[in-house]
Amino acid sequence: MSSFRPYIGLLRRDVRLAVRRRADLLMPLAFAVLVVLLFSVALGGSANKLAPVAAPVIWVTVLLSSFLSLEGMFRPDADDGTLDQWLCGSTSMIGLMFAKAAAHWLLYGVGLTLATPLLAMLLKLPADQLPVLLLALAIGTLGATQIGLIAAALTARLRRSGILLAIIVMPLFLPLLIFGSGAVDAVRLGDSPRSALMLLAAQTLMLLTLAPLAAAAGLKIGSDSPP
Amino acid sequence: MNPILRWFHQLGSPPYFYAFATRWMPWTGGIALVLAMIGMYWGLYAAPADYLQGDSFRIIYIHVPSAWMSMLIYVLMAINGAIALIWRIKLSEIVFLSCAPIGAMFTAITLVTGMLWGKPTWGTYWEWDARLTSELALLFLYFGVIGLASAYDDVRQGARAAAVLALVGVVNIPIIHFSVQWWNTLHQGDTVRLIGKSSIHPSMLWPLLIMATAAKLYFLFALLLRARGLLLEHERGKHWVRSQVLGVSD
Amino acid sequence: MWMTARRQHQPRPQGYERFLIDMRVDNSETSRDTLALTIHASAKTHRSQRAESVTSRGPRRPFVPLTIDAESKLSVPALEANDLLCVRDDEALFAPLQLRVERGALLVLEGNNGSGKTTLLRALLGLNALQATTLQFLGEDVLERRHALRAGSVWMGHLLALKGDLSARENLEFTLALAGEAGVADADPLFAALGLAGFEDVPARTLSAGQRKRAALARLAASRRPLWLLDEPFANLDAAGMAVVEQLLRTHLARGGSAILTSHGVLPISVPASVLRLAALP
Repeated sequence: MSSFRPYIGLLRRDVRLAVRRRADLLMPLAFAVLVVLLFSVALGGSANKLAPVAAPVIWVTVLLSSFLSLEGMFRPDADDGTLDQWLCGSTSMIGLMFAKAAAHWLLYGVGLTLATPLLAMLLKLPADQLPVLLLALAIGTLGATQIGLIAAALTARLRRSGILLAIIVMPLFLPLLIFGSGAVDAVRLGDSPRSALMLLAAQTLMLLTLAPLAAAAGLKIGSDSPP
Repeated sequence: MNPILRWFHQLGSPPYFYAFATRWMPWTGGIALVLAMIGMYWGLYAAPADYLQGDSFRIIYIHVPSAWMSMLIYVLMAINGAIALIWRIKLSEIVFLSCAPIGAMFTAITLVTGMLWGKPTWGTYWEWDARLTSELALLFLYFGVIGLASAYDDVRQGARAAAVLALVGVVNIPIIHFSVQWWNTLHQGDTVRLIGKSSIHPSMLWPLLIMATAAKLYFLFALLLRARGLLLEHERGKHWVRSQVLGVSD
Repeated sequence: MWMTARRQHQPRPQGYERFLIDMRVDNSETSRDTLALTIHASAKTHRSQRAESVTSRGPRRPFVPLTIDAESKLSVPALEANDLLCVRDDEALFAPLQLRVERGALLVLEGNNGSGKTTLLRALLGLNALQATTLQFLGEDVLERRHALRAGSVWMGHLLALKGDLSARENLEFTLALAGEAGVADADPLFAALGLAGFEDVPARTLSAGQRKRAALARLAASRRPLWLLDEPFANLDAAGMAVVEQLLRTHLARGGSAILTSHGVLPISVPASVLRLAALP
């Protein structure tokens, strides 16, 4: 539909920008492997130590890695004036936020989820937990992207916001983490992961509908600053 | 106009609020102090000891009102934040900014008293039970709001950005609380309940209510104190400050 | 609503009486260039009005970006505002203005740094707080529906909104797509006219400052919208670049478009324009 042109355009633009800077795209993956390496070394490397904690460690790793990519979500656009163009333009900011979140999830969330089998192998995850883990991560990274969208929008015009982003984002990640690792835990105990996955999906759906609103509001806040 | 609505409307004007705060601060502070002394004497000394937990349960007279206040203040903060965002009323922004540190303090008191209560009850200072875990998450939500508001150079923009965050937080707090409870029942089983299923005995209830009222009045006192200070700081050059506060007549 | 009618407790902004406006109407070459531009400084203090927030209220209806060809209201002024005021920190930046820009006319905002020229442009678009009795764009009241003004205008600010990793051609493609404007099928002649022949496909970060400005001007060349709001369009340009801007403006004005641009000195081009000089209040 022609009326979706701006949003598809933003998606294509973000993907093209990320592909031009492929190193930045692979950073979260490298960081994830690094964190897994640290955990494995600290825990001793044997299967009986690693396997029980494999799924939770993967969850924490994915959430920390997705948090790394948040700085670049709006900062470059705020710095070079693109954000002002969106704010003085005629396209809906909320729609642009949806497109931005979709682009970020495709680039980073899906990438981390696809790298999970590698991480699972490194941490000796029991094979029966892997499918549920992948499904839970696919949904959970979408929710994490939405939370990151809000936090990045609120801190887009600040000078340096590293730790502040972490403090804002981590309490909001908590439900995703609880339901996500709860789903895998249910499989470990032999129960059905269905209730945990449903709750995870419900949280993600809620974020999907509300986060673009909050992010659009957050981006408008810094706009009336001296140019 | 309805007199209550008119009073709210008047409160939105900085000089009126300043006069209001100056007038009510001694009262709220004084009554809070008196009630707190009564409540603490009654709760920590005079009320009978619990037959299960002995004297260590008395910490609930500080722990429970603090927990209630920490959540109440977050909701009030979020309401003020919403008003500041929608109608851009400067005083709402100031009240919003003033609430945040007070709420963080109550949350910290809840956590510390929870730990002190946990030692004789569970044997350790910390257990990941539902209440303490969600209070910890609430503490970080407060830190996020305070940090975000202070990170902006322009105070008004900072307050509005933090208001968006507070609204996101207020939507998420029930979810966090529920998810932590869900997680807790999976992993921990039943923890020692603070107040059992049976109704609480009146001799325990009255000190609790007195402490809760004292906490609310203390919150009002601290809020008026902070809001007065912030108001003066941000309305520095204004005419009413010179005439009303400094007494300089033009 | 009672919540929005705030009590006025702050003092009236000082220095109203010291506000200067000076108006020059240059000689016009064609009849279209006779500008009905009326500006007068009003010394009366304004009553408190609801400050316009960035999110414009009022019923939203779907709209299509306005193009000059589709617009036939040539007799209606492009932009008209009464008692226009920009507010920052509860203080006005200048005295209330009357603003009127006709179709096919150019308005130049002149003033020293800090006098509020850029703030005024941004405030028209809704980025800064603005108060006015009326604000009409092509005859339609846009004070509460600022998105209608945004749909019909192009803003070019000091920051160029150019992505360094994309080429000039890609930047143009995405800027037009994000604004909801129709793309340009063949952009080569456009870039050639801007003086960027041969530079359309290299990453924008490798271009010089002047070339990047020209790449940003491509947006103007490709746009069909009736109102241009340009902040310092001559910055970073050499004489050839300024000639490019002049040509763009002449073409745009001849088609019935209007433009408001800011400058802090004498205009380096010779397009007929009316001038509004802003002086900062102390």
